[in-house]
This record gives sequence, structure tokens and C-alpha cells, in this order.
Amino acid sequence: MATTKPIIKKSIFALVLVVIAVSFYYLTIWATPYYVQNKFASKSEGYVNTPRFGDQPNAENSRVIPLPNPDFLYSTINYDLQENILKISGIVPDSTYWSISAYQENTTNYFVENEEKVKSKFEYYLAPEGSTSEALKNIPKEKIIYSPTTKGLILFRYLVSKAYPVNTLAQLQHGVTVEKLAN
Amino acid sequence: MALNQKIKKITLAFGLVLLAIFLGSGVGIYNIKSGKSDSQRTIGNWKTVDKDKDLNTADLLTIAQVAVYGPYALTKKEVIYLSTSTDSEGNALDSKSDYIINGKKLDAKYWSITAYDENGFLIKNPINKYSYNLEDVKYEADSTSYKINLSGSEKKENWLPINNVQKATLIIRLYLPSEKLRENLTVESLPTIQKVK
Repeated sequence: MATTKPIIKKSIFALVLVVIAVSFYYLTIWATPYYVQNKFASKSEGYVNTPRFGDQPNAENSRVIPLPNPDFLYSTINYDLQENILKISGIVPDSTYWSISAYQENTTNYFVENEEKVKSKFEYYLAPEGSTSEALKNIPKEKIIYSPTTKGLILFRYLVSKAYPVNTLAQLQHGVTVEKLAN
Repeated sequence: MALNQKIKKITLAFGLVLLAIFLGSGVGIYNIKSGKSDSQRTIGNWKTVDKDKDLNTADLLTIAQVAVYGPYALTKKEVIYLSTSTDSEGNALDSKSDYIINGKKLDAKYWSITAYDENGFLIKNPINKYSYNLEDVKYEADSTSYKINLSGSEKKENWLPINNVQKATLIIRLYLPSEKLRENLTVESLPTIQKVK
């Protein structure tokens, strides 16, 4: 009896160690995307809930986010919906690929629309999931993007093509506006 | 003496707990860096997301890998991404060698093939050319097939430079792919990469 007690104690401790190791394994892979998003967001400090318009990526101007597509013009909105709902509007090109996509805080995509569905102009309301804001009353459901997390990223992609060279696209790109509405 | 033993035991236990934390996190980081996950599918030398999975519903490891190496990807209905760092024989792409990428038009609204360096960034080159897409690639006489010269040294046409890189990676993007292509992505439908020198 006296010899089995220390063995049981050691076994329980070994089990605790395994549980700790497994927990930290999952914690690491779960937390990594949040770390990545926060790292990228910190590069845009001072530009929260404000659109940022990127140039066409090349080997020199695009060294922060891996795998940029050199055929695109990108625009981003790093959002924080703690205090505001965002009204995002702009014009859509009619014969080249365009999309608006939304990413939650762990960088996974939860919303995307492209030029095949959205014609001419777009207007979206970005709100936290479950929002009962007065600002959303009378807004059609298809115009509301509910974010699963308070913070995240809106990304616009504009394809540079023969029909839409960089200069033409840049005009549309810079036409995107963000209006802050009361939450 | 008894007190010393107790302190030794507590120190050992504390050290083992730290080791468990270090080991768990270390294996997590190693697995993220490995680029391998349960949601991956291999088609010839190209890698993509498994047929029944998607990037926003994939396992935690895949989500972490995408966040680190290709953040802000879109789901398969919008885009299919395929990547490779090897030729069709399975050998690592070498910036000192010459390769021919042989392919045909792909059934998507827009497709492209882009070359990246070991950090996933565009490769600085004398012609500022980083990719070919359905509009700017020069097709063969049949207007359907193309040959792209993947090389570190200058080529006359369809030159995709991979000069001065330790490791080159190619990404195919298929934007708004047809349902047929989504369902039947095979080795035959994807470009081959043959080493010629």
C-alpha cells in the first residue's frame, strides 16, 4: 500500500503534464491567427475604421503580408466595432473582377461578394453579430454584414486588366467611403 | 534534510511543467511551419485544400498555417489556390535551372500563376514581371495552350523570373472557377513544370 501511493501520485502528475502539453499545443495554433491579425493591424495604427488604398503590389512595396497578387489593387479597412457601426459604400467595376470580403479576428473569411452579384454601386453596413442598433432599422438584410468578432478586416480586390488599367481602377478604388454610425 | 528534499521535488515539478508548456507550444509551432495538415490535398505536385473542406471551416492547424503563410485567403467557391515548390518530378525548384510550365486555359473567370520567394514575397527582377494570367500570357498557335519560361536567366517570351531566391514557390489562383473545374481538379487540368536545363 505504502509503495503504490507514490506510483499513483507520479502517474497523476505525468497525466497532468500531458494535459498541459496538449493544451499549450492547441493554445499555440489557436492563438497564432489572432497574433498575425493584431500584428498586421498594428502596422495600420491610426487608421482604424478608415479605408487604406494600396498601390499595385511589386517586389518593393509589398513586404508585409505574404502572397500578394501583383494583378490586384487592394484596399483595406481595419475595423473595430466597439463603438461604431460602419457604412461602407463605393462603385463597382463592370467588366473586371472585384470583390469585397470580410475577415474575422482570426483571419478567416466570413463574407464575400463580387461584381457578378453587385452591380454598379455597393452599400454595406458592418455591425457586430447580434447588433440591435437603431442605425440598422429599415436596412435590407442583404446589405448588413454581421461580424462574428468586434475587430477584423475588410478587404477589396480590384483586378487590373485590359478593360480596367491601373489608373481607371485607382479612381474606383479611391471612391470607397466609410461612415461611422452610432452603435 | 526533509526541507531540502521538498524544495528539490517542487523545483523538479516546476521544471517539468515548464518543459510540458515548451514542448506543447514547440510542437504547435513546428506543425505550423511544416505546412502539412489534415485539410490538405495533393494533385500531382500541386497542393490545395481538401475536396470536402474549406479555409474558413478547416481545422485549427490549417487556419494557423494560412494565417501565417497566406493570410486573408478566400473560400473555394470564390477562389481555388494551388501551390508548389517542386517541378512535376517532385524536385525542389532551383533558381539556377530553367523550367517550362506547360498549361492550358483554365475554366475560371480569372486565373494566374505567380512566383514568390522563400518568404512569400514577389521576386525582384529586371522586367518587373511577377506573374502571368489569362490576359497577358502569350498563347501557342492553338490559342489555348501556353508555355511559361520559369528561370533565373532572361528568356525571350513568357519569362517568369525566379532569380536570386533560395526557394521559389508558385501559386495558381483560379477566381470564380466553374463548378466543373471545382469538382474535377485533376493532374491533367493543371500545368506541368518540366526542368529543361
